[in-house]
Amino acid sequence: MKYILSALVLLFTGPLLFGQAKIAGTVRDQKTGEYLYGATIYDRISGKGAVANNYGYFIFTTDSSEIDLSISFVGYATLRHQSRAVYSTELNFEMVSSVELNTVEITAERKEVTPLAPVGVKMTQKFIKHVPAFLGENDVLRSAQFIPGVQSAGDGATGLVVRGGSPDQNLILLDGVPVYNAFHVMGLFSVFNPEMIQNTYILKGAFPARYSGRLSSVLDIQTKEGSKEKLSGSVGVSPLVSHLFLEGPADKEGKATFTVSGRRTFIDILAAPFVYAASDGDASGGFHFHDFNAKYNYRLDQNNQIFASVYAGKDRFGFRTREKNGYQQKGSFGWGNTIAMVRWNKRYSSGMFMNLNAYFSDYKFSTGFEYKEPDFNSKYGYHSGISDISVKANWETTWQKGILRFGGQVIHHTFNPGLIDFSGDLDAIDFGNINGFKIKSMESMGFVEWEKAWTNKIKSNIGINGTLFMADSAAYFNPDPRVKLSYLGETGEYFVAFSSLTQTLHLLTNPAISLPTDLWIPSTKTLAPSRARQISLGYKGVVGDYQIELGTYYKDMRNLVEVKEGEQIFVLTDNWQDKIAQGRGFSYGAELSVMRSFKKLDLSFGLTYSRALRKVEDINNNEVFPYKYDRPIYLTQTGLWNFRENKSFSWAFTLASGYRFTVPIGSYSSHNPNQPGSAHYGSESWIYSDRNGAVMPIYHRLDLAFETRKAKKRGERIWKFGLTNAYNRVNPVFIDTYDLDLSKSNTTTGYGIIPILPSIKWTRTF
Amino acid sequence: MDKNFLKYGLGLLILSVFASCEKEVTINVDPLEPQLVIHGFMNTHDSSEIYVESTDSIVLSQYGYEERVKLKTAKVVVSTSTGEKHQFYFNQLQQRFIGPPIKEGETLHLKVEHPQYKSASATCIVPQSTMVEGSWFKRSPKSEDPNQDNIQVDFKIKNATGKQYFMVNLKLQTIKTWGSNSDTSDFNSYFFSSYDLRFFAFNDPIDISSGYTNYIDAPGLFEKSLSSSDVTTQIYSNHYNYGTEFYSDVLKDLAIEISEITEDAYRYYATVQAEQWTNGDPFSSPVSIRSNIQDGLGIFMATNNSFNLLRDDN
Repeated sequence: MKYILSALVLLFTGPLLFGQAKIAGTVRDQKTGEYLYGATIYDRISGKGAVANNYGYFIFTTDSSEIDLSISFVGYATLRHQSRAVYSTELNFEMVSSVELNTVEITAERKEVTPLAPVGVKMTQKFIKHVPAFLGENDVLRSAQFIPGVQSAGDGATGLVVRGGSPDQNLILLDGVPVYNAFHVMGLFSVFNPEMIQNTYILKGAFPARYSGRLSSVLDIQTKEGSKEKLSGSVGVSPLVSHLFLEGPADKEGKATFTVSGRRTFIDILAAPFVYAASDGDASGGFHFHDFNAKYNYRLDQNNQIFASVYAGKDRFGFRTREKNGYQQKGSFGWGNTIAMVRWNKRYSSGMFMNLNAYFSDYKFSTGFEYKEPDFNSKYGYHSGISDISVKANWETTWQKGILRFGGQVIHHTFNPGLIDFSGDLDAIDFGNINGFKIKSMESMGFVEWEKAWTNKIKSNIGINGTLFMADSAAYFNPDPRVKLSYLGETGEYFVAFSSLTQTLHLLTNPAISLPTDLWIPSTKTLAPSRARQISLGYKGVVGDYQIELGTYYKDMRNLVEVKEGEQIFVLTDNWQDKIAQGRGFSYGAELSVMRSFKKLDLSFGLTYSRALRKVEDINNNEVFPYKYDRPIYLTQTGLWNFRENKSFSWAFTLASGYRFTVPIGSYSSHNPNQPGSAHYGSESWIYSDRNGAVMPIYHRLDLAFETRKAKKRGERIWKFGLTNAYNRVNPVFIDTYDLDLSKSNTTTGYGIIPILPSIKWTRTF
Repeated sequence: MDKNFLKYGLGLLILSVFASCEKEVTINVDPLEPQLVIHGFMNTHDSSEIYVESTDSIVLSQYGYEERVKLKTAKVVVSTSTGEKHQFYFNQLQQRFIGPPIKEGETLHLKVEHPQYKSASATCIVPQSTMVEGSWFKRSPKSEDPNQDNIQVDFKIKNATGKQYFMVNLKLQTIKTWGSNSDTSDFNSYFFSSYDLRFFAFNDPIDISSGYTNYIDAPGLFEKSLSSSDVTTQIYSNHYNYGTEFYSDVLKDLAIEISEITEDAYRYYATVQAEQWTNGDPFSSPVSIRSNIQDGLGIFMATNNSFNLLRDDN
């Protein structure tokens, strides 16, 4: 025991013992007081520096006797700080937005080439807002699909596909809390209100050790803390969704700030008269979704700050018939997330930073049906979901002239893979053993990460993440080493990275289509955690006037979950593990991103070549087959043209290989399995192509948006007009193969779900 | 607002928007090369039979629908590991190729040739006889009907080794009585179910009301994945005792007919079943039916049925 205590003492005090000439502090927005994650602090004398972490905090060491700091952040005027003091743990910088300076923000503005960059790709607010909105609603997950390596899982399907991974392999964090279903309206919108978002980073390779839990990507979304200056906000109205957003100080001393926002669609209200008329007044019903965010931030003193935030969102389809002579039917289904989080950030006098976080995250899907007769009443309900309670803590300090990060997390998961309730007169009917069950599991994680600049040109980030998972009397411990080596060239950073990753949760998805009914399940005795190893090489820099990112990767995945051939997952029964197979996955590819900014025009171009393959026992005759999201070519192009002051035009174009599917190529008379080995009673069975052996037509789509702003006495009035799928391309997501007979014809019908859709939204900021 | 205006307005709007979401799609996949479809059932106690068709052997019947025809002119030869060669001959009446019974333990090689198709071949091993012992008894009636026999069968497969696959047939014998006359029936196949055997599901895989009982038609197939040498398991059946003043049909004896089968045969039937449940279902992944026919489709299998009368524990 004493050895463990000694090790812990060394672990926690080591940074203090070995800390040297430290430079530490915070970076904030001068006007709002919000911390600026991703701001770089670079000492031009020693070549050392740091990137402000998720909480706006930075720390590094330097050998020089003087410092000349350059503090920069996209969209803000660069600051300089010169000092002879080489030990300072309270350097608090406040940056001024270039908008405040009345200068045009340049997304690809030329910056000093430093070895410093936040992990992952930053999606600026400007980028999120200039990708034309779907039905007028800007969306962070839609915008993410224009980053090379990130693809849509399909129109109307939930999820993102990152570097050949499945949609459940993306860790989507809202203020550090995982969100299990990040979509409204079957994947058309994300649950994240763009008004609330402060920063968004997406990692798809070169994962530092602090991240764990998923195999393919981390989408780290941080919400605004609220302006300390004044009460401000916006209200927006569109036929699809309307919003209200407020932020401001919560006390007179300027110690507390808040943000509140809510969105709701009014489709149900607008459609109600149509539904009423179409049913001759016999039925009512519709669809709606809403979400609500709130965040409270209180600064106890210079070194201690507390945050609390909540999110609640829900989608619901429902209908009811009018009660007539005692007869009535009601039905509904819906899904939603509920999240609550408290966080304490502390800066020690030594400069060490601590983040302590406790959260609750819950995702539920439920459906219900009620049938009433004069002397009979029955109710049926089905619920599934997952809920987490977690505590995590992490620290950041200096060690051996580098930056040391370490921390741990404990998560208690409760899975409800499928609970069925009957009530009313159905109680009398024996349905056998149909009730679902709860599975509880405990997941513990710990990490150590050491970031070190060896010279002005060479930097490394070495770390290890360990996951201990216990469920169903099974325990798995998986250590995941991570290494990233960077070299700073004349124009930018070259890097090579290795990441090992573990995912202990699996999403059971029906093979052909993703739905909110998809079930999260834990690893069990027979279902091992999924593992991945990824090697990536890349370059990120500025060449001439072009901001360029180039990357290539190879990813090997094991224990991926696939539903067996012929099985479906809607409701889990006791033998659910028999429906699942585990197999391997391989993906590789190359990605190119180019951005160029002119005075009034921003252009971005993304090109990905990638392959994603799977090999699962008893599927495709045990041969390797392309994953359904294997789309070798994925090209995107976006643009924002500020052709007049306060008027802009933007577009987003996607051209990609079609989705893959399996097609019947013939049929034959098989033997009736009810009569094995005896008389031959044939029945027609289909012969299929190789798994995912057919490709749907090439996907291409153009979305357009026009925005006009007008300054008002306080704030602005904004009109936004949009055109989704501007030239009405039918991009099939489903091919009807039921009556297909390739010996007679090789044409059939494909169905898309997004036609040309105009939109309009009015927004007023204040 | 006029209700009909709203109704037709909404209809037109939806039609105009979503009619554009449909398009003709050309499927570009390699065409299926016509190939032989063979279903060969080798027997130790009865004549063996082989059905030969092809993927394109479809004709229009006199009633106007498409039907499969057997390839009568195929040359079908089964050779054994001891060097014997049996040519099978087409039986016009039974529309299949017929050959002699085969011996247990032999390895059989099938070759089917037809001038229009690539020759197909397959191999299977004739299983040894399966040794079974067990008993049956009637449990208290589950339903309110006193004539409903709820039968539990406990049986043990002896000297089983490793992973094996079996075909099971539950057979019931009854005594039929009418007036002063009585007659003992033959052993007839009967439907049964199981909780603990991993039969492939004959029930709808998403039919939640069936819980996790596997309802098996007769005969049923099951997979034994345990490595123990003796495997004990239970199956269940219901038998209705017809009882009237003038007529009764009462359960007398019960037997299990069982044969080991190859994994290929088990997988073939399991995948046929799954394919038939799911073809055309957009929520399921397509099922490729397993086959052990090289350059063809279907199954070549052998059975060696053992008939096991079970002890009556009532």
